Amino acid sequence: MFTRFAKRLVAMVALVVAVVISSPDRPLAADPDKLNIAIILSAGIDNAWDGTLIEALERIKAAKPHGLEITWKYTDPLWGDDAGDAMRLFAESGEYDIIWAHSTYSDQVKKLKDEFPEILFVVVGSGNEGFGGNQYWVYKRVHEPAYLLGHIAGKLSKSNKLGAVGTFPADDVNDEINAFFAGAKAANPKIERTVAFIESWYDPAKAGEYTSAQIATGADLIFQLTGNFKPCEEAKILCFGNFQDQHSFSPSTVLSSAVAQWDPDVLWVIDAWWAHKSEGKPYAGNTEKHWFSMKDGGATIAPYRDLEARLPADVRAEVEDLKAKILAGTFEVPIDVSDPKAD
Amino acid sequence: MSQLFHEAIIISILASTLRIMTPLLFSSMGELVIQRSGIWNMGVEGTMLTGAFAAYLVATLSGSLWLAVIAAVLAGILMGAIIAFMTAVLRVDHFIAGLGLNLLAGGFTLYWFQSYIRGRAQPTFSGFEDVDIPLLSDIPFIGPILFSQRALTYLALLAVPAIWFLLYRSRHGLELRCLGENPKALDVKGLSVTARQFAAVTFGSAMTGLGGGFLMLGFSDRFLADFTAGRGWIVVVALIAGNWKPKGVFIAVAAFALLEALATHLQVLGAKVPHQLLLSLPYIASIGLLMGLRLRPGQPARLGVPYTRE
Repeated sequence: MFTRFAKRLVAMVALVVAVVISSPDRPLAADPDKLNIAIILSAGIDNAWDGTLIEALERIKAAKPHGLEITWKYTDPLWGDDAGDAMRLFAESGEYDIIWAHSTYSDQVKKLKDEFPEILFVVVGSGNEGFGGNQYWVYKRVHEPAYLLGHIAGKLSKSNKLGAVGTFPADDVNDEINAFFAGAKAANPKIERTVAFIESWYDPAKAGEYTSAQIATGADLIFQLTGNFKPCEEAKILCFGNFQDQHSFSPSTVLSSAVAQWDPDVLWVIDAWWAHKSEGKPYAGNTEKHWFSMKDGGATIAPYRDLEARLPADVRAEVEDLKAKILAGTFEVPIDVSDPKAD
Repeated sequence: MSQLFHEAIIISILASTLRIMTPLLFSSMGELVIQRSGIWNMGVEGTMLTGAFAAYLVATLSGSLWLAVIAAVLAGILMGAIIAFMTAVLRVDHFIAGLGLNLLAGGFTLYWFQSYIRGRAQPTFSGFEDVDIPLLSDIPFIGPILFSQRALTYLALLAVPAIWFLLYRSRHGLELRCLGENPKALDVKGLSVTARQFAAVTFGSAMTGLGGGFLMLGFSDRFLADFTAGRGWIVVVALIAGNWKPKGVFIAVAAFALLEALATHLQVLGAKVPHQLLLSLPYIASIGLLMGLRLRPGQPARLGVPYTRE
């Protein structure tokens, strides 16, 4: 009697197990509760490009998307084969779920992505190639806030001449400078442009000399993409910062900045990784540039802080109005990636 | 383009030339003393970088720019002592010692910098302002070029005649030149070659460190990796192009700085030339100059040759 009951019980348990196993809705494994990211930096966390990513990660860590406990480790600035070696070490350690290479690293990722199909690779910005699969290509455009800064500059300029000092003439640098001047010309058609590239990510001496030269030619507001505000201080003119709120670098000159926010990009990548791990969805990295606009939280304009009084109320209102239109999607800032030139 | 000849632009170009010259002048005059003593110091870039970093560290910690200048000089002395110990005492190959020092400086400053700022926003400082010399700075045209510069620029310009005097009008200078030409002559007189080379390298490196310090305190408000961006190599080129003479080195540095200032303004004025070409103008000129100077009559005869008593 007992033996028959035991046999039935075993059979029923086996049946239940078989049904559960064959169920299409069953998770493949327990949902992950930890996410470990390896980050290859290109310039160091003190640089706006890399620093803003780490700031975004801090915010996302606190928000705990999917209930994940997020940790990361970043490298010193690495390029070329060194970056490739670091990626391989991270991948082979088996400790990292995402390898986020925060610049032009698709050449290095190409050699690793198929060997480590479970790892999600990220490359960022211009100069990359979109392979798809487990490589996601994050792009950043801050042309919309740059357009708003241009509007301010166009309205405030007395000499009708504006300057922009850039790093390298790349797709995602040109779009900002062109948008800045487009905004300025829309606000004041008499505006003349002067543009310079220092061909370096950071060389304060060169950046300073180019800025001083622009001021000497009559520019009275500068869109400073190279981080040196000293010439603006000396000439007592207003400048605009780039990529992060750079007011603290020069409180007397930096009226506002075009700010990059990586939060939606990081969440986009985490969601893709989560869908792969918990739902078994194959990775489907993008092959074309993918960015989040101001509307989606990918960029913003920094507050005016204690320089707000330098901005007339009507200009402030115009900027707010333009910003509202951009956020509502009723006004689109054109993307122009051609090499900006002086007039 | 026609704007290039406007007075305001010419003033800006020449004032910019003096600013660009300043760090190069300090470092090249220091390097001149070192090379005239027979040590071919390739560690200029690393010494400038360490001087710049020391200046940054002290400027942000103390808030005093002049303390930061002293720190840059001390950092230069420390780097010079390492180079001098390796070349004058241990008699290591000069090139290897210098290149090794550059690598050390690049890694060490980055490591210290990262440790210093870890977990917080990078501290910045407010660097040197221009000093208007009363009355002189009001002279039309010349005033804003020559007499409205940072205080250290005046010192850098004074360093040229000072080094000339040291080399050609003092006993120390005579001994120093002798170290580079015929160190045995000093040795047989019972004068220590090692001690004199050690002193020359530490003194010269102090000036090189000051050059790096000015680059930081005169141009920037913060530090970043590889901050000196190859200026140490320009100094080495200026020494060769200037035929190891104070006047020649001064002209080489001035020519380099003028070309850079011109390139800067041409780009800003929208010259119809690719800006990459303008940016490389000073470097192309340097290479051209080196190619033209196949004969180096001024090169110290024993430059780069470790001295050993046979």
